[in-house]
Amino acid sequence: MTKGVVLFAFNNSDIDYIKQAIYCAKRVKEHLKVPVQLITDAVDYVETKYPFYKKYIDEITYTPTPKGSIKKFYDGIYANKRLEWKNTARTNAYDLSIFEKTIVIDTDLLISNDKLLTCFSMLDDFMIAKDYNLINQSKSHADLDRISDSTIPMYWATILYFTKSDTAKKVFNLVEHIKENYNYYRLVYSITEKKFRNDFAFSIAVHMMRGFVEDSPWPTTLPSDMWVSTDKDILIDAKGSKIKMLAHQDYDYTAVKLTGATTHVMNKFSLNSFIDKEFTNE
Amino acid sequence: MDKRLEKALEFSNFLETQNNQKRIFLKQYKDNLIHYAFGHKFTASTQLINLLSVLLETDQEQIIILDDNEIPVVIDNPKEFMKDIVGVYIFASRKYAKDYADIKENRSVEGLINL
Repeated sequence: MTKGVVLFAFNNSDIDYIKQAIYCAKRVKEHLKVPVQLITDAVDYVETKYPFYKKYIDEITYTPTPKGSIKKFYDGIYANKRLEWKNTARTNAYDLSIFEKTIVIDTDLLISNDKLLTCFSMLDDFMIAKDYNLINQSKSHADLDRISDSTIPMYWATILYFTKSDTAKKVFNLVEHIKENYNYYRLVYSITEKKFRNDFAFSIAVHMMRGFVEDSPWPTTLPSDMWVSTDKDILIDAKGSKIKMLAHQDYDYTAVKLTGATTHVMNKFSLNSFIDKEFTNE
Repeated sequence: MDKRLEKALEFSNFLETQNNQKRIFLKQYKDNLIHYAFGHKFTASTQLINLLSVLLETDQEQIIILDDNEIPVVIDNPKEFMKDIVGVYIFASRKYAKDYADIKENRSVEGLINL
């Protein structure tokens, strides 16, 4: 297949990323209408728990369970859990993708328009999301702009595009090297967080490959919007291209409505509850 | 709670939601002005539209403009390109105007979210 979307899903004890991936694929089919490949360590689980998955997923690829770390997951302002976070497989996207032109997205990204299709007609071999908008426009998150206060701009591995090409291969090889030597790079780039994060590894790789400078036209801006919520925000509803959320204030919430806005839902618990309702009739 | 305080807080909540929606619509307007063509990114700004109209008046078959990353791009069919850019501008501004008018009409949080 020449072009498509790749999703990675590895469940932990509380969060069903596979369910998210199937819902994400459903939205990909609705808005982008391209094939979807799911990469997971639980092929049997997909087939037994979600027998309807074939409506939305064209190919399942097995990969061993990646190394995880412990992360605090919030469910709105007042609740949180410490759970395993298996996020280190994304660096294998280049080798595992069955497509010539691939878009990799997080399973918690609610695609709500067809802007990403433009990727396939562009000449670039590698693109990654950089620009984002917060769903709560009265807040600012400086921590989402740079990987640390004094270092480099942050790129989001939430949306990646690559072609099977030398340039993209170099990027993924470099990210793999950064992952293997993460503690070293973490110190060089003043990252205080100890957990491996794809966003940071790709940001470092981009910085290195563009000649250790900030001001460079490479990589080209990814042709998509990305609206970002935090895990302290709550997803209420998503129908077609309309998404309703509660965005957290300090000790309260503000209602937000987004239309035609591709939105990153970080609160996995509210996303899972919403998908349960959506899948009732599947 | 004192009724006067309750009413004031209700209004404050409404205003906060309305302002957030207005900012979201402005950001979406700016996103919708972006146009990708020939592998390049262009913003359908009034500046670009003006430049294209001036260049079209010179009757050149081919023009050169800079994309958003300041990379020179050869445009082989300037009239068609102008049509695309103006189309993007018209769509984005009409959508913004409609979205803005809708939130102005709604005087409750429920109204704003159920648009």
